[in-house]
Amino acid sequence: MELKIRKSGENYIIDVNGEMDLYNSYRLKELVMKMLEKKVERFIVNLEQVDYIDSSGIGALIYICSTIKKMNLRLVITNIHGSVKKVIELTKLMGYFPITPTIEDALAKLEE
Amino acid sequence: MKNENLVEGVLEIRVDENSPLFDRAGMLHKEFPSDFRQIRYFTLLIVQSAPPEIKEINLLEQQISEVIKNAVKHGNRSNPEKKVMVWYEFSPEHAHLIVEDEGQGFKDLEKWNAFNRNRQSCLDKQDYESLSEYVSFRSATSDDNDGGNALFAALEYWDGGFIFNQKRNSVAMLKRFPKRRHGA
Amino acid sequence: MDPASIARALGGPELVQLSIAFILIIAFAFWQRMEAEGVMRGFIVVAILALLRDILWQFHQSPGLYIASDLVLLGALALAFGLPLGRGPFLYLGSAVSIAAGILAGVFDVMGGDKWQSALFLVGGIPPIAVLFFHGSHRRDISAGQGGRLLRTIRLPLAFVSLLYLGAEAYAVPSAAWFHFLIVSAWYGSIALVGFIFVDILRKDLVGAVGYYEESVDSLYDLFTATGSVIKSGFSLQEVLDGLIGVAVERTGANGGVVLLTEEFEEIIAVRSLQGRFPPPYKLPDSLPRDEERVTSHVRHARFRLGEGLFGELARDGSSLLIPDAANDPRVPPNGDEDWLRLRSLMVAPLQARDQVIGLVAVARIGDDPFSERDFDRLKLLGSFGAISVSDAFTFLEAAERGDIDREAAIAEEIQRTVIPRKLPEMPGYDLGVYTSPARGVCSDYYDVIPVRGGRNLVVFGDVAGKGVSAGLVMVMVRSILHLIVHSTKDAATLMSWVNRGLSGKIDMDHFSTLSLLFANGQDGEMEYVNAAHQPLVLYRKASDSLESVDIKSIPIGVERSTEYSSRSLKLDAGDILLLYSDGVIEAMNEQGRQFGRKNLGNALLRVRELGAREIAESIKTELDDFAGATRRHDDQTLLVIKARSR
Repeated sequence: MELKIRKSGENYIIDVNGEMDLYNSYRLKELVMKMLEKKVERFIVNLEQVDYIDSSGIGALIYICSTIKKMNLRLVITNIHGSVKKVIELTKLMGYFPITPTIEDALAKLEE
Repeated sequence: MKNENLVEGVLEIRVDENSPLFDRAGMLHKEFPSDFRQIRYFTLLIVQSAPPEIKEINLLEQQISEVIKNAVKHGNRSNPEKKVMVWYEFSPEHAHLIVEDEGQGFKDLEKWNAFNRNRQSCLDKQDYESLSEYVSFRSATSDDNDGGNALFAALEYWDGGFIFNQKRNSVAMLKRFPKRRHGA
Repeated sequence: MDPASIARALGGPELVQLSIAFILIIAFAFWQRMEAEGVMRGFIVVAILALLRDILWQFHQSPGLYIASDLVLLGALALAFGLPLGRGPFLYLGSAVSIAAGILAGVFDVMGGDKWQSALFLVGGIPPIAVLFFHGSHRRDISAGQGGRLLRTIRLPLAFVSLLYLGAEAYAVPSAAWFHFLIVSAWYGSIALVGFIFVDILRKDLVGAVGYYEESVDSLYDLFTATGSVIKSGFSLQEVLDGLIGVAVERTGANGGVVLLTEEFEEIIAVRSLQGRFPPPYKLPDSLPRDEERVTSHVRHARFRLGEGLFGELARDGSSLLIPDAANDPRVPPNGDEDWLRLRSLMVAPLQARDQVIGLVAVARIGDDPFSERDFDRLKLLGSFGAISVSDAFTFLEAAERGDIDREAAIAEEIQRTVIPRKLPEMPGYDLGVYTSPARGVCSDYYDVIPVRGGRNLVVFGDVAGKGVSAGLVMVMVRSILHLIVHSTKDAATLMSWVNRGLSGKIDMDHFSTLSLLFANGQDGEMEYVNAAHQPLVLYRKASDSLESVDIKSIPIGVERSTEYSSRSLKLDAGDILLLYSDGVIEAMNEQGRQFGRKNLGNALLRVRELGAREIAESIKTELDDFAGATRRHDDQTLLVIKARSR
């Protein structure tokens, strides 16, 4: 799994590339925690290049989502598809996560 | 077809030593040491014998990997001396597995069912504020890398039953692949 | 040792020399793991002998004995550094003469006589220097390994140093203090220096080679992901749903509306698309703030059990509904007094395809005008046609998904066909036979026989655990790395760790493979075997007419970058048979649900042990097919037979 950060205005987009599994999902948590220390306030997690996620990956998403919510900062998860979507659906968390279909929608949602 | 785990409208993990799902006849068999590093490798060895149409782009693999991870990590506590035994059988219509470890058994089963009931009631009320208390189940062997959500999905996925034996160190599961609700 | 000699030792250079020798031995032993040709072993032998010599000197300070042990040391040095450059009578004789002369001179010295000593020194001193100067100088073939080539370059400096040393020794007679302070220390220094330079060159070579191979693997990966990935279509279900509700809202003059779809895996109907203002016709939780954004978000993610509530019942029954006056209808609960929350009028129509309810379309009005029967008819019409579009979208997506799977499997199988050799090369001294039957959509087994310069052959046998194209990719990577590095004269264990490094953790997905490597070192039956979690070898011994199982416990490649693999040697005698086989062979199942097993494989081999390798492979395949009968093959089956010819 690779994590890349890019910036769009005040919004930080984290592009996840690869498989989010029990061996590497902690890295997304660590990255977000580091970004929070650096006072980043608006996050987009882009899962376009993720075709595999397991409970550790879902756990990492839950963790960053609840941490960011608690701090009253903003997060959108975007481009969920394929088996990633199915796993989130099985866990019934589609409504729990702030989700948009595309990056453009995510940016618009953060601007609301 | 009724879901074996449906109890009063809520899915529950059940214990039933005599469930027909524990019938190992005709199933393929593999054994692995409880090596945490090799969980995904072992999973691939098993799932590669499934017909392509039921792999559903990684979903079957992911669900099997969760059960094997539970056996390795929570059952055998990643002790490589202890084995995980898997019996499996796939067809275009079904996936049937039995995963057994040499651990103490799933002690928190009742606790998990109670937790899941609360979680389900939050979901029914669409109360996402309270749901945040019930997104991740923790047991004595959980650590930061455990999502604590694998079994929620497992009960939904294994719609033909997800059933433990009396000692609770062996779990049998069945997934049916009926004609889809949508499409041709 | 008496107190005086201890004091002397503490005051002199000997203690330092002993420590240096000791440290050198440890350092050389540590570095020995880096190279496979035994050059470092020569350094260790020399350092150990020097240590023994200096210890001996502490007990018996006779110059004659010192010179005698130097002769032994020099002989051993010539032998140790000469061996990796090739064997020959010149090398053996030169070293033997000097060692023998040294031992003889030592014995004379201890017995007290000093006759013959000078002659013995002369006889013993010259041959090893000559060996160092000349042995191996004429061999310029490229089959000598990295270590050998390096050794050839340090051979001359070593000979010069040894010559100078011997000269100084003959001139000074080793009791002179300056000899011990200066010459012996300088000798130690030069051995250490040569050793360090050697290690440094080795390390640079290793780092450079690994870096190069890793780059090659990465570029291959890029190539395959670029060419193998499925072309993304611009088609999306969401666009179909958004389009449907847009038309429905516009054509019925509604303020807003939603499309709900039944979930594929659950008894649930969920909102999938929302347009405009749609006051929810169901009870909102009291805890939800009556804020337009929050309520809209709630509606967007609303889910209902089939059969429960307004939407749940309509979806279960597939019926439509018109509520002209929602404000006074008990089926629609009030949610608040805000304008945007007060539902005036509601219509719902089912989305039905081939007797299956796949969803609902619902529209709402907020103002004063209720929906009319004509609006209702319009919505039902839109619903029935919309259902066809949505159903087609699902069919298309499913076909695309299925198509992806089939296409992936086809690509993977094509790669496998390309990677496995069409015809096995000749392997001198051995008779080879193979059969392989792929299972649909698996693509796991891989084997190869790679001829290496110098008459060696590398037998490769692996079982990849991967998915579709990525499994094929792993095969390509393993094959490429092996073909790149096989000529480097590294031992099998080093090759295995390089393949593992090339495959582990670099790329954005998990992929693994078991792998057995067998180096056949020429025709004499000597083999070197290294294993990464592949099935144990089945070995038939003709001498005892019995079977053995040969295994090395380890983990597959691709799991951990730092895994170290160890090898063991095997010796095949004429008529001995080695079987390499994949999981699919011993896990093949018959109609009664029993697995073929290693025992049956062994028995099958015993029945045909007199045949040639090719016939053995054929008859085991027949036996396996008979056993399995009509049961579905769930894994690739591959069997490679290696039979040692008589010599």
